[in-house]
Amino acid sequence: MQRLSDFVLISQVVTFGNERAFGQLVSAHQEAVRRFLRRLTAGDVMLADDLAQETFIRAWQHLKDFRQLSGFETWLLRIAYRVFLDEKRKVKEDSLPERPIKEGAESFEPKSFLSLKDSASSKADDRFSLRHDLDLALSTLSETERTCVVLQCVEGQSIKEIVQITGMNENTIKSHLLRGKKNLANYLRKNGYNG
Amino acid sequence: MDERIAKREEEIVGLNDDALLANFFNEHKETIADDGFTERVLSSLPQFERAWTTEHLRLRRWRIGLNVFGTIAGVALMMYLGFFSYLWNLMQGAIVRAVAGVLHFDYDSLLVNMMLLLHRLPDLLPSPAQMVAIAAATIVLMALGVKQFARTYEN
Repeated sequence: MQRLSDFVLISQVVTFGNERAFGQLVSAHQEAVRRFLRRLTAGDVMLADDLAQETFIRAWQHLKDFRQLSGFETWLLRIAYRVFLDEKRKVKEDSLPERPIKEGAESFEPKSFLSLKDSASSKADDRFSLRHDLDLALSTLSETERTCVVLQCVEGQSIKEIVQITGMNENTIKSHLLRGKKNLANYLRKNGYNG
Repeated sequence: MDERIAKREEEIVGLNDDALLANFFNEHKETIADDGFTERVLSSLPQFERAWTTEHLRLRRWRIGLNVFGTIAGVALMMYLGFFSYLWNLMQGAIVRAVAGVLHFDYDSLLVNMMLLLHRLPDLLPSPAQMVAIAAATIVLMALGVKQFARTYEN
């Protein structure tokens, strides 16, 4: 159903340059794109939103090239991944989080997960802590592992779709997923999270 | 045997990992409200003309023009050859006969009409001179179209 409504909206944009139709597409898919970029940038909300904006601008410029071979969201995530890689290339390597808390991860207190469930802090604080925990855990993975794990476990993309998004080989993705998930599970257990 | 046990253990650990991660990501599911994001994107979109290059629009106009021209030319050719009036007469005759015969369809006359149509088909085809003219026009149009495509993709 989503695919059909996307198709109708895309047709309106391609044929008439209808900005309102494009607005509806942005509104429907902003969450997935922004969430994906937040995970890639280790929770840097401002940077992720800037990249998401750039993603949608590129989508607007290249929508005529979209051949409907993949879902629209998969296509958007592919653009988002390219935008992220371009940004990474632009800035110095150490300014973007490639295993930024690798050492810090050792001293990560097991309490942080437990405290989430027990604390009576405000909802906004909880949201921040949840996001913080998630990004801390993900930052223990390499960038490619993180990308594959986020795409599969958070965005629910299939391996074939991850191939389309990242341009990586299917077997490479499978091994990244296997290793990434194993490392992440070990890390979570080590820090007192048992599901 | 040990290998099989080790493999099985690995599978169980893998399944446990999946369940653990599913729970973890489920608990840490993040919903992001739009909060004016769509508006910001729309206000920073480049103009339609800049996003859709003039080349693209020109190509689109060419495609539409060629389609319209082809359709008109096809219909005109059929009209010129009297195909529609013949078809109309045939249909009219069949309808009149069907109505007049009330529930009795005249298969013989339909058969005769079809045979007549087949018999007249060679007369309906254009003359050799007309065929040459149509072929030349088609080639010219195709050449123009190919040239236009090549120019667009070169840019």
